[in-house]
Amino acid sequence: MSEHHDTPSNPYLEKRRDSEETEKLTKRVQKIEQLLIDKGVVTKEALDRIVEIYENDIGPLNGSRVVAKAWIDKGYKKRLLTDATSAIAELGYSGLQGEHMVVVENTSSVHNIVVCTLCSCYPWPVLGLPPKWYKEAPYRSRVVIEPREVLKEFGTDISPNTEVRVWDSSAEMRYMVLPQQPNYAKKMSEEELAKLVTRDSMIGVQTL
Amino acid sequence: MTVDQKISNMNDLEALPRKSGELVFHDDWEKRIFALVVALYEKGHFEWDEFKDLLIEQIRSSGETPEKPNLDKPGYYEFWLTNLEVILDRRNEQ
Repeated sequence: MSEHHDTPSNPYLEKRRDSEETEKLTKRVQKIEQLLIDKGVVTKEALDRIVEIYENDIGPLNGSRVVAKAWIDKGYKKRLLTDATSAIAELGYSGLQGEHMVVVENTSSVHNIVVCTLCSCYPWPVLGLPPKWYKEAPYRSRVVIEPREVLKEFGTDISPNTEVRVWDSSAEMRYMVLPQQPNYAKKMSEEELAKLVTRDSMIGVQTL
Repeated sequence: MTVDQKISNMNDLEALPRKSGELVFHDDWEKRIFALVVALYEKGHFEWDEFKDLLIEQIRSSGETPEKPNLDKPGYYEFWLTNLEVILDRRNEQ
């Protein structure tokens, strides 16, 4: 897999407007917003909430916090592995889609990896938008047939003594991997730990 | 399909600007137009395909693609803004 990472940076990201243009655009948007608020179609609060969800709540950061908490709080970890949907909701992250979450734990004897062979089901509320390769056929088909090879291409070598389990997500069931806490990170605070946890480690294509 | 799946399925030139998988907004108005579109779609005011087709059409006719941007021309969320204006106009005429 040559494209492990995100596609080259999107040039739309580079675009900058001067303040006059920004002001014009802001007014156009405000006009629509006001019209729809007056008509009772939307409320300002509902719009604020949507922005907040997509901007702050949806992203691998949520997943990282879940993992960090599970590492330092045994009780939480137990709840997470028994009923991930509720345990994740405890931290205030709830799904936009209402599907069930299952968290699978990596140990020295088991390495877990998540895929959606059918389409591109992905645990949005905790991991954000899926990376491009996750949705592409090579990953989706090969990870089931030769997971170790695929992992190698991600630079992840799994000992032959470790069992590799592949979890196929569906519309009803979304999986997330609880990575192993690295030895060097045993004494870190929850906040520091959350920073260590990557999206790829929660999909299972990377170890920490 | 829910709106986030719809967004996730926008993969080509209509794809939303992202960084490490997360959406990127530059200005507040971009966030607002995004939220307006999501809110109206969720309330069933239009079909996602109508929005998406119109978006692709606009981006194509602007000649701008993510590979070949024209930094003087409208940016991505300006297409969203025009799109929503067109859709609301269509609804008013019906």
